[in-house]
Amino acid sequence: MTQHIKLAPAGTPQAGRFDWGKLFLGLPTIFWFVCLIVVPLVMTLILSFASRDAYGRIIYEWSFQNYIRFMDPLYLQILWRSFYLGLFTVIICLLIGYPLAYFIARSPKNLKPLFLMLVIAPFWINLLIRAYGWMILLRYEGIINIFLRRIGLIEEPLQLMYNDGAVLVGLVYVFLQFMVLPLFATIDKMDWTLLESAQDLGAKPFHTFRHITLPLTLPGIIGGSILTFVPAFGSFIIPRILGGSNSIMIGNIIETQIKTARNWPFASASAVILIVTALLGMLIYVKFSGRSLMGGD
Amino acid sequence: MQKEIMIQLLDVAKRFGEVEAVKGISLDIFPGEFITFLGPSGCGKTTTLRMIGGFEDPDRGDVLIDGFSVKDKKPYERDVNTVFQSYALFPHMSVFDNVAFGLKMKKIKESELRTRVEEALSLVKMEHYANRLPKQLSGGEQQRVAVARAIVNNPRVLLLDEPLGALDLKLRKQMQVELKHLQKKLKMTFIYVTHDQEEALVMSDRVVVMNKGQVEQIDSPTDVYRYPKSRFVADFIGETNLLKCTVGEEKNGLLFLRHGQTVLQASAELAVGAAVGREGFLSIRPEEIKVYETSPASQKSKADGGSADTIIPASVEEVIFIGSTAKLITRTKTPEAIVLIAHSPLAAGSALVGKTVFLSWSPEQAIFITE
Ligand SMILES: Nc1ncnc2c1ncn2[C@@H]1O[C@H](COP(=O)(O)OP(=O)(O)O)[C@@H](O)[C@H]1O
Ligand SMILES: [Mg+2]
Repeated sequence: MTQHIKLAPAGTPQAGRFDWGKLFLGLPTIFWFVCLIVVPLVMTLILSFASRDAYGRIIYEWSFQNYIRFMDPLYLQILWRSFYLGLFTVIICLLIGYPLAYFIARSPKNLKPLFLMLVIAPFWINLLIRAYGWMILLRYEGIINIFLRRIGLIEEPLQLMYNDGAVLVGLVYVFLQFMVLPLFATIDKMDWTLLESAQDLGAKPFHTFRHITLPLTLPGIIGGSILTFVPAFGSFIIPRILGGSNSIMIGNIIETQIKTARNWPFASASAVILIVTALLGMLIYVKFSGRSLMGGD
Repeated sequence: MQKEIMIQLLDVAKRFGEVEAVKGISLDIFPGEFITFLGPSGCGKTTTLRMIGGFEDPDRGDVLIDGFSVKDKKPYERDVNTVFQSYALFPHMSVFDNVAFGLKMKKIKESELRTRVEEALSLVKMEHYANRLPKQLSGGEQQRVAVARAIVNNPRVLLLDEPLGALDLKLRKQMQVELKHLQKKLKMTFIYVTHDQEEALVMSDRVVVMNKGQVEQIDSPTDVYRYPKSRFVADFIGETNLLKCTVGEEKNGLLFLRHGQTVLQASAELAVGAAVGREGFLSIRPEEIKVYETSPASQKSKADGGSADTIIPASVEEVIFIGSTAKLITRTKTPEAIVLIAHSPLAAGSALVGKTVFLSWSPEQAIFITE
């Protein structure tokens, strides 16, 4: 019954048959992806179900005890703080970053690289040093307090450090560029005649922004928000230096559990909770922002 | 009766740094008119249009719409709509939403909005594409949507900046006719910009020929073609023979012009400012030159006696086929050996190479231009 035999056209890979050539080309990528991302994640996940003995050695007996321990209000409060500090970091970065990115995108061609470099420049200085820089500004005998007392605005120095506000300032400062760069990329490639065209059709500046600029730059807003939220949510250097014991974030728990308490399983469980919360937050955010801005009123 | 003026440009000028894009243009545009800015690329057409639309502020002069200065009016406050060269359709909105955008901004009621959008879409034959995104449309279809999006607002004036520039020749010709019909049907004022002289001649009621930021001539298409007022216009619109001449004398309504030793005639009536001794150019369109194989002087009948057609013997150097006719490149057998281009019926064309012919034209077709 020859009529059942169908020949696939030459050169098109048949469904079901594996393309070994492509796999071979992708091999290095797959290798590094597995080594650097999959293995550590799986190890963290496995470890989070283990426990430890009195000396910090890992005991491979599986239980949910690390997760149950995390449900303590103390830890949940820290998780919550990490979440809202991350969220506020995103919001403030967006409020500062959008106008800044817009300004850079609209500036003359020959000035753009200079402005972009200025945005990136702080990145070349170590994070720790930049955090200490804020300490010099914010502490009890710091520059801001000295200045405010000089001009007679305050009598006693203000407690500017070791609170959520100080951490927020630090996080915004450190992660602003992660917001500005993706925003700049989308705003810069937007077709400006679309804005003229909206004006031509009677849209006042606010409506032009709301109906044209905002939806068209939404990918940059989403990208920038994720790039800012994830490291802010998980950061530990900024809260340790500027927040002290008053403003502990989840990154600090993981750090202390590994370095001081020598409790790797609990640190792993905390890390898993951090990753899952961040992923969930991002998912909800992408869905929500996509619908509210694109879908219409 | 004084015609009512819809848009008035009063000596508007605009410079960008070193570049003087528009050097002072004055112009009256009447209701229901199809007026075209025609000129080579970079002559300031777009800039002029953008000053009417409110996208550029003139450095000096003023733009009046319905008698009122719109100097302080932003684009969204002007009752003017634009069809952009790049169409500028909103990529994230359906065809329907694109067309509805202007009405939504004016807070038009949903039911009226729907009918008006559908009406506009059917005017450009795009009613079946309402739910598509712009990127799912061809160039020609996007162009139609851009037109619908502008006319749905029923503006006092529609500005069109080379709207057909990106389309292929055949589609362009078709759209020229459609746009012209649409304009007549809506009785809307169209201000059109193009660098394509044929497009301007086909579509317009009046053509504004521009060069280097200035207006060279404003006239009907026929007048711009037949009676160019400057060397630039004669040269830019269609093809012409331009001969440098000096005015000799004027006699019996004829102007006698000297080109070296050759004396040529032009109608004195059509030559403005041609004083004796004045230098200028004589423009003769190739299709107005008649080609004879034997001297037509001997064939002249008495009835023709009054006319004084110029007759010059010339040798045919080259014959080029240009579709419906053949183009002859000839060299006159006068001491100046002038190169003249003439059109001849196809059949005669090919046999003429190397032969001597007689070129003849009537003075009414020879236009003397002083600048
Ligand atoms: N925004 C601008 N900045 C600088 N130069 C410009 C700008 N717009 C136009 N020009 C210059 O002004 C001149 C006229 O431009 P334009 O009005 O666009 O001409 P056209 O539409 O006739 O081709 C050109 O030399 C162009 O380079
Ligand atoms: Mg232009």
